[in-house]
Amino acid sequence: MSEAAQGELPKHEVFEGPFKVKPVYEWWETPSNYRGYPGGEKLPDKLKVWRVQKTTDKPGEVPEPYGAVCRPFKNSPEAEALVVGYNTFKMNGAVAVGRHGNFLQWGFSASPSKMTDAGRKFFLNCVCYIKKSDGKAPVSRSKPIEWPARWGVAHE
Amino acid sequence: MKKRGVFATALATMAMSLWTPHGVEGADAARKKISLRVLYVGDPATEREKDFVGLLEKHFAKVGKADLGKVEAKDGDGFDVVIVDYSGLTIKGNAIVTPRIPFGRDYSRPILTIAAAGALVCDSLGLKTGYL
Repeated sequence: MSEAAQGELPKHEVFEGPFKVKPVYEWWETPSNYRGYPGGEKLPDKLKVWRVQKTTDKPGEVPEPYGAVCRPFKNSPEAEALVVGYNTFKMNGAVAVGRHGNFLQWGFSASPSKMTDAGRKFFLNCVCYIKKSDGKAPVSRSKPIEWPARWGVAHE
Repeated sequence: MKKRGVFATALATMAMSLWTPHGVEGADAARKKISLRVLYVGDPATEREKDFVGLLEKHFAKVGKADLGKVEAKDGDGFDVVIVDYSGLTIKGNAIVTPRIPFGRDYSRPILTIAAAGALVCDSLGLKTGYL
């Protein structure tokens, strides 16, 4: 994933407090990989994004350590997509920051000094927001991805 | 002259109190700390840990830190939110190496996972926020 969230902020309390998140919007080229997915051909040439972090000046650059997105999903009482990521390898609409039960996944990778002001405020708000899910372990679970043998996942 | 000196000192003190490297800017920086207890779990003694803990300490009432390699689920007791960070993925042979995370399916306390390693953890728990 790149360093930016895609699209305007949805109306959600996580952007309102304790810190008001005020993104600085930019327009970046629509990633060519989006075109290969359903509806991709109808996307405009440029997309509205806002930087959550800045380790490089290049729009769309994928910095290390790597961030991550997850598959788009519909919001429900126990799971919600908070922002979509701008990414140059995965599908349009893939979720960069989302919550499932008591787990909130922050898909961006930079540490705070490399976050933008809006990114830091959003991160701090996420810490506060997930507190509300205390005791709410997910009810629905999906089967973990079966990784190809050459990309198995090992644990330290 | 003396008055001007006192005024300048007061102004400098106020400016210093608002100056927060890597904190949030403006009036938000001067607000009272948020009454949450946060445990940061990551790679110990790294710049990354220092950076995250520094930000958290500026804004939350209590901040603890733990070593990702040694942390146990019970270490989260006494904290409102646990943050699990991992600075990078390592590839050994044909496998992506992720940290051993003790916060499993039965863990119901608030937890925030970060970046690609966090997404792999979510994936291993069958969450919708798992790695794509």
